[in-house]
Amino acid sequence: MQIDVLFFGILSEVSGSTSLTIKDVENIRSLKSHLWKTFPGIKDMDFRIAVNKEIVDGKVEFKNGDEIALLPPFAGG
Amino acid sequence: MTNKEILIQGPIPQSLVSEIIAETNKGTIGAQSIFLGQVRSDVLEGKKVLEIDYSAYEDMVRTEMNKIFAHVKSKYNDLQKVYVRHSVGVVKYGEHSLFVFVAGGHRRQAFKAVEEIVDLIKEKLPVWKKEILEEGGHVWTENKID
Repeated sequence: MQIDVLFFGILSEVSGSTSLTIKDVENIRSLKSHLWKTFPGIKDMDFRIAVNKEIVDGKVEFKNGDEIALLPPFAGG
Repeated sequence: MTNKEILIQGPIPQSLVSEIIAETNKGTIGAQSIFLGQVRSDVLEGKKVLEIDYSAYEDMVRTEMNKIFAHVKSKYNDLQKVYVRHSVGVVKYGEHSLFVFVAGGHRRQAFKAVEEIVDLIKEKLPVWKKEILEEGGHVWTENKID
């Protein structure tokens, strides 16, 4: 089981990454715990999470191959 | 021209605006309404903004924009054309980064639809801006409701 994680906006700058593949992370809680360890700089930052381009809230179980995007507040226009 | 690709590299060329006006010439259209978003030279952290570097989650921009198109076309049944372009990459102050065009039979729906589309773009599209300051440095900003 693996997922792709995408970083956008200020999160890509702070983490120094635009994407990475993570194995054996099954839900948002375990993803966050993994991210806080790897990129402590993003722990207190404001962002939402999209799974396969749909914003999700709360408890979501990932499937193999899911695309998880970390989205800071939008600034289009 | 179609809305297949919403994002455009660099500023919105003014020629694009006149091309869309020129090609929207059906005899059933009585109102064309346009919004152009322009980059301001705000002062941030005591320095002037020179340009904005826009980035986007391109696949999600496509899906969110299709939802916006579907919403406005069902709500405003007088519209015959909706056209949107948003910049990615660098846009200097004074240049344009957003172009929204609608055309329909009459003015009321055209006015309202443009305003609603711009509001939805600011709320729903996964786009970010890095404001590049004179003398170096940058600031990530986010949208306010105004």
